[in-house]
Amino acid sequence: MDYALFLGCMIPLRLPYMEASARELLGRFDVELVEMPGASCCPEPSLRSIDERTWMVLAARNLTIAEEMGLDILTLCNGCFETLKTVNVGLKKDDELKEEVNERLREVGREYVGSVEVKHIVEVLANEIGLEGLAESVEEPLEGLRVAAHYGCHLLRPMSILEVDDPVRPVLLDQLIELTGATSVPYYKKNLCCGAEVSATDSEIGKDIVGYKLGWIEKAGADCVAVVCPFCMLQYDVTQRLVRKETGERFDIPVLYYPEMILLAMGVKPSDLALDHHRTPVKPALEKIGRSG
Amino acid sequence: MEIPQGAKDEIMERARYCFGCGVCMGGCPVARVNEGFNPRLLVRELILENWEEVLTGDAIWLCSQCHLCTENCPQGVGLSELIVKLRNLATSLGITPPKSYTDKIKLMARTGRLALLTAPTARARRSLGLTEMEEAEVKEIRKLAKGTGFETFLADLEG
Repeated sequence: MDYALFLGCMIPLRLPYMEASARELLGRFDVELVEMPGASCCPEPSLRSIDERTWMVLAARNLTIAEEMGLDILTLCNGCFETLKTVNVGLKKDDELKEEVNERLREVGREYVGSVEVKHIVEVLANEIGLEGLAESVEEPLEGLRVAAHYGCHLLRPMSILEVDDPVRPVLLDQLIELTGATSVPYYKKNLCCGAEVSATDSEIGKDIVGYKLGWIEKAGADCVAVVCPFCMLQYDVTQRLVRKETGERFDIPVLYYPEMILLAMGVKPSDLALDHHRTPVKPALEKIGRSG
Repeated sequence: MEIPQGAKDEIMERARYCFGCGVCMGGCPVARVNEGFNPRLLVRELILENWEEVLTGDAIWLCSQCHLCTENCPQGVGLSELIVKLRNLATSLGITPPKSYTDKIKLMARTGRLALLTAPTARARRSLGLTEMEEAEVKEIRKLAKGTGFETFLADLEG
């Protein structure tokens, strides 16, 4: 299984520990990740909001890099996944639009053909490596660990384009969590956005949304949150430090990137996972599974 | 404010199906924490053709684009998608988007990416055994932006 790795911006430039654990995990299942030379930002939805056509052309440019490599794209970020898949699906089914975009791309010697697919790491784990294959690799089950799954909006919606899972009642991440031996706990408003996208425009709203979510996650008795997107990671792990409960206390709910979780279950030592790069201490979750030493 | 009829039609074609059930409001993360943001009333403003209020107001820029309203809407209004159209329309009419949007776009145009490589991150990458980050091909990106007319918008932004 070879993929063109679309790294995006947030993971390599803000949260490189996520890149390290994703590479480590995929390497263990012989998924070969090939770098995409000259790739830019996917681009992010702020550009789509202002000039949808330019957003589309720049996304198509990124797609042509993978097309030249002859490889499907693997993304580690929900944002990159939504952008690249939306443009890929849109251009594949609309020849007129494709021609308009290609008119622009020809100016830089490129052409979009429509020969590759865009996949999120969750899909590669669940559908390519497979739940069974992953379950077989578990050597030190995370028994007793209660996990709040947070999918992130742009892995799931809009479903008519992304087609990964049910957009309102998804199951894939819960299944991935359970096969590590941990328990995926139900919690109120599980499907609500983490607030990352609005955070940049209004940081108070961003804090209030993630605080609201953390409140319900705590009430559900979760030991940690599991995420699969760098924007969700920033909200839960970093913005969490700025959020206060009604009582004025801080939250202290560890946040794990799913690849870190499964690597722990495969027997990787916590000290080999750069968990100290997280801003909210992970130790309480490790203590729960007797792996903090 | 002169709004092209085609742009209005494209938005009204979807908005007019709204029967005001408010399911968009119920699932909205921003509405949950901010009383000033009400997706149901935003659609009503559209139906009443209060274009100027909608396009010059803050609301369209506060949507988190989680698309729950689009998935939950029994009438298929697709509000989160309409909001993208409204933002594009507002920008094309000369309304300046909030600074958070223009800052990100300026950075993208300058570096090809949404974030800069800082010294601590470069150190973290080395300590994690990750490769050095390659520069994005900014020249090519700028050239493509010129072709779409986006360069003019950028030039205005950068003064």
